[in-house]
Amino acid sequence: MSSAASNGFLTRGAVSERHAQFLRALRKRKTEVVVAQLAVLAVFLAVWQFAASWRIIDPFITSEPSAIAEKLLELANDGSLGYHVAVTVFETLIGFGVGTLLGIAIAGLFWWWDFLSDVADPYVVVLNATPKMALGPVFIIWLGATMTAVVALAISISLFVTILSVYGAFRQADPEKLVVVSSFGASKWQQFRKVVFPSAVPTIIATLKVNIGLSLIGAIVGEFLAANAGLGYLIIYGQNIFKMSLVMTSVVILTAIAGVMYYGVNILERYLLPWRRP
Amino acid sequence: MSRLERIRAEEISHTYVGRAGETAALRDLELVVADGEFCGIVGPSGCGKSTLLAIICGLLQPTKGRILVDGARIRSPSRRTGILLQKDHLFEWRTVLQNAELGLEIRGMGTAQARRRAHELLEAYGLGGFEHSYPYQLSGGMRQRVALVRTLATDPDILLLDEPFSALDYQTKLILERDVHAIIRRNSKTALLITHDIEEAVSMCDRVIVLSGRPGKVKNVYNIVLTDGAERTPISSRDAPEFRGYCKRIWEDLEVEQRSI
Repeated sequence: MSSAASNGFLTRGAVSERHAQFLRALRKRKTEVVVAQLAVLAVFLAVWQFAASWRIIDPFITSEPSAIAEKLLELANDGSLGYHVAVTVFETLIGFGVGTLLGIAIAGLFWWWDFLSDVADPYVVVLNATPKMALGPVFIIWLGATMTAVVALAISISLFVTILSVYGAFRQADPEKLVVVSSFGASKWQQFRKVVFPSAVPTIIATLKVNIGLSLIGAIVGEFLAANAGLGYLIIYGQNIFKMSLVMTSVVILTAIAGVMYYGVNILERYLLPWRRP
Repeated sequence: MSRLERIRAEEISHTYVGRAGETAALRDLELVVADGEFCGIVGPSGCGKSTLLAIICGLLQPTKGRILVDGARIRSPSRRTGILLQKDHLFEWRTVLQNAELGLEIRGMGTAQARRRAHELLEAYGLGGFEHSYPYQLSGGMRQRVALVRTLATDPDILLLDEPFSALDYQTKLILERDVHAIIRRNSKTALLITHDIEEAVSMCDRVIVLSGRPGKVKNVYNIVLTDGAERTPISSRDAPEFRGYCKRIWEDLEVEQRSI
């Protein structure tokens, strides 16, 4: 134990010398991976910065990390960063929430009433295959150049894929588990609540992961088409006045938002699926 | 048979209808199981054994005939019957205790008292301390025990066993056979065991019914009388002098059936 404690950080919690060796190797590897990941980012930024500073590339076209950092500070200081981020996140979350919940509800309806699902099947499949971006102008004509149109686009992009994948998962619920609950006299609602829905939770989580990204795309494209706020608006505005640093800064913020939301769903997954074999 | 009758199957016929036409699974099957009896059904594969159990359980309506449980016609699953299937079909997303309580929840018996009962049963069948484990953390034998507790928790008088030991390894199977047999005897429950394992049927049952090949009907009935000491268990039964004889005769019955398929 004394030798195991000699390198405290890498071997904490070790129960034996061999366990300590194992833990050390495991944690060393993990640390190395993180360091390498950060190094890749640092090298990328450094090369970009130097290439721009020495005019190997034209910062007017490519922007440069220092300009992006400056712009970020400027936007943060005048309060517009928070505002545009809030608008985009709000639109994304509403689109994500409504698209996902509505999709699950419709999938449930299809499971309950399979005649409806058979009738609707070709329509849902075709609508799912339709590029939703093409609907953007339609929503704008119907709903005006408003946030509502943006949200509608964000909803439409995740709705149909949710219906298809969640309905598929509902139908794949183990028929023998349904026999088990039926032998206890379960009603159809109980079959749904006790077997069909819980069986589909892993699929629903996977759908959430896809939908959070899709909704963000929907919100950004919606803002491209019709908005006067949000990161999509900032990108288009930056393009129009040919301010690459504004465009790039918005892209960087978007990337950060996508990352945070994805990890949020991952945390939700760990909370919802404690029964998964680790 | 002077004892009260629990299950009566009257002229049960069942035909499955599919796109390709009809398949007769059971034809004019008659069956009576008395109170406290442990009755076994063996038959060649595809003879409709599981169809019969589903019909008795009320999960399936027979094309013809009727099932009476305690004199009442069965049209939907009754509180009096409980079913145990080949696989445990535990719900992976529920803990052991939550799995054990499933039937109580559905039957609307989720009272504190019922929950205590599920807890006690788990304790009694060697699952104490595993209440909050998830199914993936248990061995095959333990999982099937949880399934047994889930069935017993609603306190059915009649247990319908659909090859519940066939997916287990030999050692586990013998132990579980012994335990299930003891539970059924101790609580004077009635049991109907479907199996393709002749030794299992002879060692556990008071009476073994041999079904013919598809469509299934009763081919032969054996009352199992063994001289194996005071308290019969599925393990002691195997040492009884008559054991081999019963197995051999049932085997011969089935062999004729297999040949005719």
